[in-house]
Amino acid sequence: MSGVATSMDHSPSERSPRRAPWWRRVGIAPLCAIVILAVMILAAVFAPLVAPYNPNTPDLLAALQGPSAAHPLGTDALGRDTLSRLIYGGRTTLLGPIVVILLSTVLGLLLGVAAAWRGGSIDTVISRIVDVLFSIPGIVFALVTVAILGAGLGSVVIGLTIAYTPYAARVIRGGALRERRMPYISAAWIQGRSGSTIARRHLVPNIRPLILAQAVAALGFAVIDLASMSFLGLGVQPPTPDWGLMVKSGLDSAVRGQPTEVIVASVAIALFVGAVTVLGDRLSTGVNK
Amino acid sequence: MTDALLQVSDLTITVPAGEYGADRRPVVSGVNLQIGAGEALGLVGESGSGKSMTARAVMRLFAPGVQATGTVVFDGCEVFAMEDDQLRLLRAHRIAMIFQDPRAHINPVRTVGAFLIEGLCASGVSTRDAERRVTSLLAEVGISDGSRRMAQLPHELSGGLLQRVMIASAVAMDPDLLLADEPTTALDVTTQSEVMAILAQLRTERGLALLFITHDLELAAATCDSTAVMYAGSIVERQSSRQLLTHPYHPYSSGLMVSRPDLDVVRQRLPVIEGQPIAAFEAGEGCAFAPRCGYSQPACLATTPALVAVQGGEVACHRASELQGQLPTAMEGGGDV
Amino acid sequence: MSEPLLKVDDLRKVFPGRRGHDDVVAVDGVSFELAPGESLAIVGESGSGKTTIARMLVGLERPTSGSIAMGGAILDVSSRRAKDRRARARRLQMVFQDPYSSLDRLQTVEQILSDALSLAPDAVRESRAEQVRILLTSVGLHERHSRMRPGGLSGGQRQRVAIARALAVKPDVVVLDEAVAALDVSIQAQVLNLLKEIRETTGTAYLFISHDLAVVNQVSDRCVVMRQGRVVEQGTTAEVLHHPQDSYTQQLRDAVPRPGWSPTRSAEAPR
Repeated sequence: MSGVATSMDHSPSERSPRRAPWWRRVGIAPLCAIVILAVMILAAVFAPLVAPYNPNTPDLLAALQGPSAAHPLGTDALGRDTLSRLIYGGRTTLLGPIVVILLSTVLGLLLGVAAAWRGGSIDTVISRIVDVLFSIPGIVFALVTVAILGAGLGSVVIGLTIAYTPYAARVIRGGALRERRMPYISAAWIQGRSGSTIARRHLVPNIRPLILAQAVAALGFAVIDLASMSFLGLGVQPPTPDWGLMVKSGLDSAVRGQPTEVIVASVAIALFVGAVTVLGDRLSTGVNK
Repeated sequence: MTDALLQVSDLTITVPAGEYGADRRPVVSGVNLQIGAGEALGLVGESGSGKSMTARAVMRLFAPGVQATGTVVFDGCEVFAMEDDQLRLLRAHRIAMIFQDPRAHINPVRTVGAFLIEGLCASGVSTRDAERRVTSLLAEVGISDGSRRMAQLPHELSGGLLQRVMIASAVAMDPDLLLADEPTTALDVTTQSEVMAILAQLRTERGLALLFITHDLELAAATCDSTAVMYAGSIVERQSSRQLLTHPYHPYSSGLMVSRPDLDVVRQRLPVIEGQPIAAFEAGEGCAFAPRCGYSQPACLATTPALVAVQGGEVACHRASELQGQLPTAMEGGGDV
Repeated sequence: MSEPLLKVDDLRKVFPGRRGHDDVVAVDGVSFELAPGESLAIVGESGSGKTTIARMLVGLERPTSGSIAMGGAILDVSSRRAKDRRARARRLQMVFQDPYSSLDRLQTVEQILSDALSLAPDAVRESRAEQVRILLTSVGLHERHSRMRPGGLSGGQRQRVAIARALAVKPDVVVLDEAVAALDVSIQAQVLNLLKEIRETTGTAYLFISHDLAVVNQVSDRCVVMRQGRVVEQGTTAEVLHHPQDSYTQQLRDAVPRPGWSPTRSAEAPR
């Protein structure tokens, strides 16, 4: 190839204009959602530094107190500080579902991309398996794994991971099928790149927004499912603080005249799920544009 | 000129900027055009010229966020000042529009027949009468087995057939003006010829006026009475089609014609307009085309030229009287414009 | 008689019909040859099969029957193995119609061209970055474009990147599938000039798929006219366009807008 072509195009065609910083572009509601989520997650992560009391130390003399200066959110039936239990509770209530979503998204990604890329019989087999998994409610998976492995956070996480994988797989497969038809994928194929290289370097990065939107939206559901399992006594076991468990023990306290614990735990769950849903919604709109 | 069917004056259209701190961006600036009853005007331009937006403005078809100033007067009525029900009547009975991709403008789950009779039935015609009228309309656009086609779904028809269906639906309500936005761009060249011939026939039979948007200058000039060329949101030249093809006054019009490959003559190098087409908001001071123009002088970058009358039309070029329409129209060597 | 660079013999492609529909014969026994450094156009309208032929040549579709040979040796175009595809890619490359979706929008121009260059096995003196710079200037772009992503480039510039990508391995043949159809008229001329210049400099052969007869006249030495999967006529471009033997070719010619032309309706019922 000799030298410079005489037909040149050096025009500065930077057509994408300067855009406002992301925190101005997302909108007020998603911005609040991000703040709420950040506060909750950071509080859970840095619980020992943030919580005023040890969440498990009972103090029967101070049992069933309402909000006060010493205990801003009151105490539970064993005299444990509700605020501290709330902060520590975030660890299981929030981080458990995050593990579920991470694992199910990765599994869903592998299945979805394999089905979309290979097509044919592999796609048929994977799609049918996913269809079958879809027909079984998530809670049932969790119950089955609890029955096999015993109650506890670990078994519920495993069960829910299996339950959530088909959702991710289906959404990702759809996105991957669309991208796969694009000429830039064909161009990489022509160049002789292997299927796995194309999937890894071109296909998956281009559906990242879709994967993220789906994962965030599913996180809300995972929180509810996990909290429900704990509420039923099949997930996190007492005395570990957990919002689902707090709802359950809080009901007993409410019957005995002290509703603070149940209200606080329920509101916390609702707030987290609401924030995650708003954020997931905003991310999906970005994807569809 | 005052009793033109359509009179557009000083039309300026702006869109939201998306840029942090900037207000709005113009995509069409100060466009004036008119179409008489039964006349056809071709509006030619490349990307960013604003031709599509201009056509949509005639029916006040704006996406959210798009704003327009200026006046659009259709048969004596000011379109931008109309109430909603007046506007609806205008769009249903007086002006019709067809688009580049017919599939995007027809409901894929309803039959072609349902689509075609919808407008008629909505204005009070009985279903049986509507079907009869539509079948004869389909015959006019060259679809003789109308009843079979009407029972089909849109995806069963080819692009060319579907575009004919769109034309049939557009003229079903007997409008006075048809807006056609690149209706043949996605069609084969033989189908394009058919569709343009159908439009020409319908026009003469019904006295239908036409605003024809296209990027293809030769096509516009061959099918319309007059042709206007747009660049960066403004009209740079408007002339009778025959005049434009033989004596373009604006270097851009000349450049478009000259840089097009020819069916018979092979050139060593095609004459080229350097650079790329820009949109209205990307234009700098003075004439928007000046940076790319082979005839530009320092004065061209100072002030924006206004549209001035020349023999048979108008042109917006500071050097128009100097160049006197002696610009090249086709294959004269391989130089640059 | 030397072997043609590319020889397509009785190529057929049948797409199985969906439920209730017949099989679609997209390409029905097409044969043609391409000499080294030649520019051959395949002209046709939609449904002619020209794009399917292009896709079969570069391995995106598997022929139902028929053969494709390069330099006398039959190409195994059915193999999906990366090794075989790479071997073919070093000789046959493609430029697609849509400049907006034929480049990965997440990659920079540098990455796109680097990837293409990594296909070429020759040890070169220059560094990869220098090779990219040379490639860019050979398609009329500037070094600073290498840091940009496709989103920051215009349609014409993207198409130049696509051309650079195709030329990176110095292939024998570049298939251009309606490569200028999506560009503005004034940009089309620039890219057509570029393509001509590249062919003059490098001697790369072109297989130019197009529906636009005027473009075909400008860029190709010989041309093949196709209709509904079959070759209707072939010969030098001058012969085919100026003295068409077949009525279909004449029809195509007659339909091209030009000064003095007016649209006509045919007597045939529309398909």
